Amino acid sequence: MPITLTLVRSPERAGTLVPGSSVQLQLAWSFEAPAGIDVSLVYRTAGKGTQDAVSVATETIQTTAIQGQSTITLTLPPEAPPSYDGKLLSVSWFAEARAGKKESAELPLVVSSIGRPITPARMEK
Amino acid sequence: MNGHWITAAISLNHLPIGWLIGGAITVLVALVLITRALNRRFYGTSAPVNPDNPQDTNRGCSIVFGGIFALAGMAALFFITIRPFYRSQQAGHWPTVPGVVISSQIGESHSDDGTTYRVDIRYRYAVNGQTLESNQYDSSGTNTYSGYRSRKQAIVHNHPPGKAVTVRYNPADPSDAMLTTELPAGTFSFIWFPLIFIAVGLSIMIWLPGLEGKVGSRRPAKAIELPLAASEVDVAAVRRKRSGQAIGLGLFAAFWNVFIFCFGHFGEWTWCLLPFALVGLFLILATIHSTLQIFNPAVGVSFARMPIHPGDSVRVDYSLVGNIFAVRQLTFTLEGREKVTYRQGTDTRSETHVAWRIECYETSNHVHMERGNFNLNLPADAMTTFIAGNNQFTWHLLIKGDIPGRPDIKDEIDVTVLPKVDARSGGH
Repeated sequence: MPITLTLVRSPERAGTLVPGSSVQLQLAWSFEAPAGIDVSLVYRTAGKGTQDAVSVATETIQTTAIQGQSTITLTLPPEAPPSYDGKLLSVSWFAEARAGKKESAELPLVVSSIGRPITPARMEK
Repeated sequence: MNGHWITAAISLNHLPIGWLIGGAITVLVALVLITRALNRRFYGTSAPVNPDNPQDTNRGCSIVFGGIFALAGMAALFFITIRPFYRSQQAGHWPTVPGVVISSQIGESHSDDGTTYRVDIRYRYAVNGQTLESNQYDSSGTNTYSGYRSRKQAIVHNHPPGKAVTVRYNPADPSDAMLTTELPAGTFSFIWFPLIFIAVGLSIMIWLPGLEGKVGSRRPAKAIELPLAASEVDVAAVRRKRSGQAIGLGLFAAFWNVFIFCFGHFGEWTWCLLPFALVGLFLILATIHSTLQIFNPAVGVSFARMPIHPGDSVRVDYSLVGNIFAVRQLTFTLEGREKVTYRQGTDTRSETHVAWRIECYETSNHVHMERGNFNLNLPADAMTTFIAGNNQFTWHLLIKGDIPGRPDIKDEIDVTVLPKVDARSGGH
């Protein structure tokens, strides 16, 4: 794999991502020629509606090395929607690394204070 | 209505085709320039369409599709109103000669839409010693068919064969003649029809590119902007909203019913119009219902804070203004709704699903109805407000008042729910 993305987990957060928090990512690459790499936090919708894909944070790494690794920190906006799994729509988060049009890597994330996608199972009466 | 525009287009024997093509191209270029200017105004872009970019392809399709619509409307406006009016005005200055009616009848054209008619009066006249014939009665041309059968029948009845008539002829082309400078039926009464086409076409060109630009596209990284709901909604605002809804519905009902009336009155009434007439009746009843709701008692609401966060308990104060004794029961319900839009064929459809419904407060005690408060408790695992191009999740406080014998109170106030910002943010 020319690009790999890994979530850096710290013991105090136990892997829970919430809106407003920062996301630390380990990026490793191996190319035939030097290239710029865009690393983004993206949420995508799925379900009955036409898909929306929104990039909320991006950092570009300009590297002359054909292989290497780097740690990147991106911040989730405080208004970011949490991961959600509803009836008509769902929201899924990804960390995404792209080098040009061909090379890319994607890492699914869960953004939720309860550690899993929010579901509208509870209908209070 | 079934006007035969194509037939009318063929009858353009008095206008150089170059003028028409040139005019159409000029109008199209003007439309594209206007669209680009408006796109720049509304969306901050006027870049040319790049076919490699799906977002731009959508924009290009919208401009072409909307442009065809608008051009069709302009062509219809030209043939139905502008051309007959212009030619009538011109004919008013043409010289006249005596003529005689040779034949007189109603011309009919049959199609799937029904039958349409034209005045087919053939007359003979002489200009500079040359005997000429024409069957053009008025400025609508010789091949334009429309409704108004009874009116046309009366004209034919008044022009029997052998009757002496006064013929107006075009001095530049004496074969171009007509018997009257009166405007053809429908010249101005149907002006709204092409105007609708033009308005729809321009709307598609201006608005749809911005909407479609979000379809499946990647938006650049930026702060997420959400409209923040007001923490206080007074009674005047509620009444304004109700009035706006009633006026909007009333205008639509008026437009719809005038449209149907014109079809039935000026064209041929057929049973096919019945469902449309029933829709018109339903719209009138809905307008009456909506108008009566304006005069219902109204509830003003004040939230202790806005936005609110999952897990919050927020105090809500309310006051009911108006004839509170007419209200049997007052309820406040918080609803979280999923809403999606999607394309099905050429239509854009939307669907809504209530994902959370939380009964907040209800009372049938008039003392408590007039003024009071309750706590709005939002679950800790509730979804937050989120609005993307085609998908959204929104929260609303629904206020319902049961009024026997009259339309109930049904008002809705937007609520913004944002994620609770973690004090520990910054480390993962």
